[in-house]
Amino acid sequence: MSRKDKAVRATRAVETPSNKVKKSAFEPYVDLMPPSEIESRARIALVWRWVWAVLFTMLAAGGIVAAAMYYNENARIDMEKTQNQGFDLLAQIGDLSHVNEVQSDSRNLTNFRQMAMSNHQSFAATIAEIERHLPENSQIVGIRLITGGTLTEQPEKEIGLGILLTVHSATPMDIVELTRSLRTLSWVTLSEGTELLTTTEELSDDFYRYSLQIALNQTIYSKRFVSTEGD
Amino acid sequence: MKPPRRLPARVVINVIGLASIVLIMLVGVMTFAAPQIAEAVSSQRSQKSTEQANSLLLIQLAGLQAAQGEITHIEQELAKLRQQIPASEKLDEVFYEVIKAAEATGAQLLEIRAGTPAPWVARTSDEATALVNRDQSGSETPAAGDTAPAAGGPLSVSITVTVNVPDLSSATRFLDALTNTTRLLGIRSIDINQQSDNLKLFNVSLSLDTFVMPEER
Repeated sequence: MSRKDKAVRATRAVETPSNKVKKSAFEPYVDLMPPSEIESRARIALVWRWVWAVLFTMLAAGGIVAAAMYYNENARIDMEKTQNQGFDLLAQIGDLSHVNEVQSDSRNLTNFRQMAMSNHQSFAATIAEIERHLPENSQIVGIRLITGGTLTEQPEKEIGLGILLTVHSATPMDIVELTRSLRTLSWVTLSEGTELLTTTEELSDDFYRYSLQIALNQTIYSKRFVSTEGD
Repeated sequence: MKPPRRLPARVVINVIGLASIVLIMLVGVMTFAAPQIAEAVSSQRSQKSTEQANSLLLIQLAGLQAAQGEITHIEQELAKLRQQIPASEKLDEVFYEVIKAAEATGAQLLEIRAGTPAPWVARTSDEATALVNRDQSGSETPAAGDTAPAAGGPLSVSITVTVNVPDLSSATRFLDALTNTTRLLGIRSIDINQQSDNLKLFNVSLSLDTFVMPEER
């Protein structure tokens, strides 16, 4: 809407269009505001509207900022509360540090013991079992035992004890017999005769001396120091 | 009606008003609200991670509290372990065990020798394999030191023991006693040999390890 239209409308409001009757005695006296005044007032009103709008906006922005600060403050308080809980927990744990030390020492030692002693086994039982398979009239005169390594995942496949056995006997065929009978045992992975000699010692001359190499797998380990939990 | 040379005043007012509203909003939100929000978000993030850490601490604490209930039991366990694997060499215990075993089984003790402590290395099966190796052509020297021991870790002291026994069963009883000691003895090798000049005499020599776990603190 242009300025002129508005002015025209204002004139019509007082009924007589001045451009039709040029000179009249009845020309009514109309106190019309000059268009410049109308214009200026409208501008001032507009400015005021904007001033209010700006004030309102400032208020709104302030509100938003306040809300953000409130939100931030709450988050900070929550965080501090959680942190304090953490400090509290740490303090409580610190009070129990003795328990912790004892526990971790105990655990370390148990783990180490398991590693170091996993090849624990009863040599007496092994020797007794070999003696049980000895043919008659033969006896062990020498035995060398070397223990195997730490217990592995596959105890059946890994060597648990190496044996070098020396036996005196009256009959040479005993070496064959003993080697074969030892081979039948489940924990024997190798049994080989390696030597058959006649003894030169001051014993009766019907004595033979023979040697066997025997390997046992890790199933002979006692597992006494191996924890069943497996940690 | 001429086209206006310059922008009408109202348009200018509208533009200025609108611009100041936008500016106020921008300044307010960007410079004041946004950092607050960013801070809040980072607070929340750190709170979340703290919560996670706390839940772990809580589990740890619960475990410790449960352990504290049976602390005497755990301490007894530790004391027992320390008898088996002491924090210092305490070789007197080893001598005690070996002498006691010899006395109990009637073995005639000839000698006990202790070596110096060395970092413990996990035992391998190489020696045992070499003893029964049928393939003598292959090199038997095991690659040593492939498991590098950590500093401050457990130590082992090698001990050699020699005794004389009258028969094989005495020898096995002596071995039995040595494998059931309080102070742990890890046996590496055993040699039992009948003396050629005296059939009633078996010489038993053992090579074994005793273990030491130094205190961490």
